[in-house]
Amino acid sequence: MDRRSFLKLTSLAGLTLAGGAAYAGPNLRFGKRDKALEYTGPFFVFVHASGGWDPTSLCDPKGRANEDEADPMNMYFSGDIEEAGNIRYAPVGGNNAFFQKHYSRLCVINGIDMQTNGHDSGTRHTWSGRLAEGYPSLAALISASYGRALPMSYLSFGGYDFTGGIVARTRSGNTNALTRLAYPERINPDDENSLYHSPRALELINEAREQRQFALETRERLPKVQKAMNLLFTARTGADELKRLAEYLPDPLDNSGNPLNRQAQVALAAYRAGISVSCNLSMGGFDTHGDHDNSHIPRLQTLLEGVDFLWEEAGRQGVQDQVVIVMGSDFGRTPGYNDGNGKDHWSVTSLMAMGAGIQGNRVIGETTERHAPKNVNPSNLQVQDSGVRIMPEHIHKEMRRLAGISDMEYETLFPLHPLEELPLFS
Amino acid sequence: MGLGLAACKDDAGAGECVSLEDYFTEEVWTPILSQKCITCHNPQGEARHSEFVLQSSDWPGYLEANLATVESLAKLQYEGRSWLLVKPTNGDGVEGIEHGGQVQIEPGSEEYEALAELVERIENPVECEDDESEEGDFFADVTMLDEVETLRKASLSIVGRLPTPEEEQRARVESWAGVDAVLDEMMREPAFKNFIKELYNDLVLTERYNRDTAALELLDEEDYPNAFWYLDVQDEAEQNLVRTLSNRAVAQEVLELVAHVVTEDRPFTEILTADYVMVNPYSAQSYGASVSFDDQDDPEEWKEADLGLPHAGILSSHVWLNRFPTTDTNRNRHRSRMVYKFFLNTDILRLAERPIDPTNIEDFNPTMFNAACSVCHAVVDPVAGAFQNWDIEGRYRLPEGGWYTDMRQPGFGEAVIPAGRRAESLQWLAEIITADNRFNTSTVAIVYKGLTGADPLFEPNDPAAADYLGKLRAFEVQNDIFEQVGTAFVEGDHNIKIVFKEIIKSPLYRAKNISADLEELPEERAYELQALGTARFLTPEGLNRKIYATTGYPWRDDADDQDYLLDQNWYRIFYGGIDSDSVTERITDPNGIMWNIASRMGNEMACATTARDFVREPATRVLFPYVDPSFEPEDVNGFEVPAVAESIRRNIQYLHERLFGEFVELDSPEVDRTYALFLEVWRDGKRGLAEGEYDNNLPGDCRATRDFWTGMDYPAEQQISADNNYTIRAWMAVMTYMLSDYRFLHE
Repeated sequence: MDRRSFLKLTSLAGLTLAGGAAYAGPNLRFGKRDKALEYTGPFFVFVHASGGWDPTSLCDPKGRANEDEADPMNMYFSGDIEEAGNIRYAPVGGNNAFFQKHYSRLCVINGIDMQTNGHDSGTRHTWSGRLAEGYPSLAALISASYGRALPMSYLSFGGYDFTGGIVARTRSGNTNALTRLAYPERINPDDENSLYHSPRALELINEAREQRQFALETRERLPKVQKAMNLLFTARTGADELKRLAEYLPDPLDNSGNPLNRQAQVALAAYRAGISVSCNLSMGGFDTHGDHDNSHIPRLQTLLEGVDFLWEEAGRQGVQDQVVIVMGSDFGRTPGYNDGNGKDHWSVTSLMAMGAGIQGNRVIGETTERHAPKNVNPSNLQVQDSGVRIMPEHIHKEMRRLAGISDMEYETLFPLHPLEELPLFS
Repeated sequence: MGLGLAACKDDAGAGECVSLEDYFTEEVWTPILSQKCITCHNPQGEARHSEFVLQSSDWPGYLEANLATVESLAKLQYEGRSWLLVKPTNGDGVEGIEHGGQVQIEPGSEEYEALAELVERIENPVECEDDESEEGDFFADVTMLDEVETLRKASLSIVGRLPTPEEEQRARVESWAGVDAVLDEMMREPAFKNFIKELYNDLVLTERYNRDTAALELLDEEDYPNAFWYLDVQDEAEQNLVRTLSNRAVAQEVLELVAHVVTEDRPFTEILTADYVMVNPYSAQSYGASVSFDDQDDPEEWKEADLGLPHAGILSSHVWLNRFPTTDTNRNRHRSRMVYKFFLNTDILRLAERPIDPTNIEDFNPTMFNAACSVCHAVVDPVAGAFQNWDIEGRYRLPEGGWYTDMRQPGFGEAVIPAGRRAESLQWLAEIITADNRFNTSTVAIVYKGLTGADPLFEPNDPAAADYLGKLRAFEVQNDIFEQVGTAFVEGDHNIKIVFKEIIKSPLYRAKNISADLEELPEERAYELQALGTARFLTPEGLNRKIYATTGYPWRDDADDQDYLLDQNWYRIFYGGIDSDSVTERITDPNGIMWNIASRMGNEMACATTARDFVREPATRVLFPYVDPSFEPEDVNGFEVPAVAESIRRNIQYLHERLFGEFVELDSPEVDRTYALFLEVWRDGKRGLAEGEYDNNLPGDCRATRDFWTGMDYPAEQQISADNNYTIRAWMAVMTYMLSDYRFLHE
């Protein structure tokens, strides 16, 4: 089988071959760095609040009128709701510090209709833009489009990270072992002359591997086998790039106890090394069916502090202007409290985005006092009864455009066709 | 529609014949019934008491059952019109007929027309010639592993070793009966027990507690005052050992129960119905159980014990109840969901995937009274209630004042736990679950995933997708096979070993290639084949077993160390493994780091095993039985030494079989390529030795100077440190090439 046929067949199987390690990223207004053979486009970070966060305790505040209100939405008072620029936020936890610091770069989308209150389906809907199964996460789609062959192209610490085989995801482990892995051909990873095989033998081994790969591709015809070979080939192509990661990993890593901080450090190091395009950060604890306020609000604070750490760390690393951060969750939480002072699952939620390409100090969409979604005019995004309800599909259509992957090969394999297009990030 | 199905519905010769079953599945079930109707018309739904109750795809034979239901409804007529058309249109003008769900289908719509055609087809059924041979047709162009190849693949998976020549011969001579017999023997080996434990831990994740005293801390002080009995042990080292063994025993009791049921050939239903827990001498002390052991110090001696509780196998285990905890407001729903997921092949959350509208939820207690919520809660809540006697901490405590009255009553579906059995509600539940057909399907699905690494296919739910028909057919074929295996499982008294054997012999496990080029196949056929075959990137545990099985040595520094691929501080997590705690899902596709691990393994194991194998006598070598370090392929004048070259080729042929399971000829391109690698590395080495570029000695780590297992030095005459002919390093290059090959890393 020739290379062309193989390309066609892998495409039929929902795959393509790696296009090489180098890619400059989408044509947006991002700064350039001067290293060759590495990814230099924007870094996409998706932060997942696992379990279903409560937007009314965050960026879509409701509150209660007074202490006598029956079935209140929140325990704080409506009159205490605070503002940062155009953004209103709940006066609890770490909100004040976060919103006052970041409102100018923050875009909030409220009143998103998730159409589900199941964890798996909600998480999938939030991060793939599709309620049904089968679509990769946006992070996977972006990674596949810009750097499929990079060794940590899609770094995932949890959340929805289904890839559909279009890109390999990488999970972080003990970072101390990375140096040893970065130089698999060395007996002593710190000594470049300490080799298992002579340089010539290594060349011959690699040549034999290439020939063997081609022979297997020719005779193995099952799509699943071809896909498996393709993935291994792709993984091998980018393996040498791992060496660069060791250069950028902070030593020591953060020990604050915030689970997002260390994830952020590894992710940014991988990005700076030019070997990562996108990343899922994730923290749990938001499924607060009982004792909601005491459990949930501290988690939100930890989340916001983690995002702030990510932002500051990006600044320290000199890549702040190239980072795109999107925060979301499975769904929202029910209006009012249940018998255990908890809140159950609610299919309306919010999403927040900040960073490169995002117009800040904006709030799009609204909800009623009982947190039901309101429709918006598809042109100007103002609330309008006869307008449309914001769905994840609308948001993903725009995020794909923002990321510059619309109509790229992988994007067209997983099309989104909302009836209307909403200029959410324009 | 556009599915090409309407071409022939009643006559031969006008195009592809479409059976009633196919029409129902593709035109009615998937786009209409499974999307709209089943939300209420399911065994627990709002319309559960109607004449029209549908089964979802987690129910074995659901399509046949649903077609039968639809047929009976279609034949029911009111004023000359089928109920199948009258009901969903809310009567469509027929007086006195109403639909509880109002208008679901508009008269004249595409959906209506599909139903109308179905009614017509039911009245005038079409029989297609190939109706009975769908599965056979599906695999017609697929080549399968033969008996010996199948045995090798299965053996590496379930017992982590290669079949012996005698076992291979038995498979060769006795065909599939021989494979069955050998597998029966293998499934009595200790390694199979470990495989079972590994497989079930991927589900129950109780290994999370196999560290420090995590499992012992789950035991209530009042119930088990002796839980930390090891504190009385005076010697510190012994106390540490006893503590570790006690904790491990409690942590692993669920996995030991599963393994016990399997190894004793008990009905697999016993994993839920067992009225005992498994203890060894250490956990027996922690529990205060009076059990006699042959060897009071042997942690591998496991016995059944009654702790005076109404045990219900896994369901009432402390570690399981704590691994899937509950809260006052969750009210055991999480536990219920896990019961459905693990033992009834039902993902409750998928029931809620049909779009719901939050603005329609205004009911008081919506989980009871709103259809959007009750679609799940009607299923979840009764089973949640069955856990009523086991509290948040997994202790047996009858609820004061009884169970919640604002939930559905404890039970299963419509069945309520009898008053006389409320104190033993989980035992009642276990009996119901294990009598449910989905328990069998669940067992088949779990074994299938354990053997192939792949999740069973789901019924596709997007009829507009280009690959819909292909995926649907693949799903149906898999479903048929699962049903057959499930039937054999039941007929074999629920012995799970039957499931292993039947899956291993099935075309799903054995498919290895197709006879035609993919590009020559119709697109739909290519989609059908999309998920066929295993092509499994080995788990860290699987690769670890394979390294040991094929090279004779584990990948670790010293005999007493832990294997790199199993150690969480080394490569277990990087290589896609789990820690059963924060990392609970495996990565199944290789990434750059995983390749680097494989690459390092290839280098290190080539270094560690090559010279070491040459220390042995040729007859006992596992890697190089046909050659010796003195075998150089060319003489000093550069001419090939034919006898030596043939020996080298024969050894390469042997390595292809041993490491890859490939049976290749001596003059095949595969042997040619590997031989060329050996030859060129050797030639370069000879040149480098002559020019003083290379050392005569092997790198220090690659020398064979001491026995790996004992650490004792080899006799001086057996030690290999030098490589004056450069043949050892040439063989090391071959080993690195092969150990990092696709075929070695996949199974």
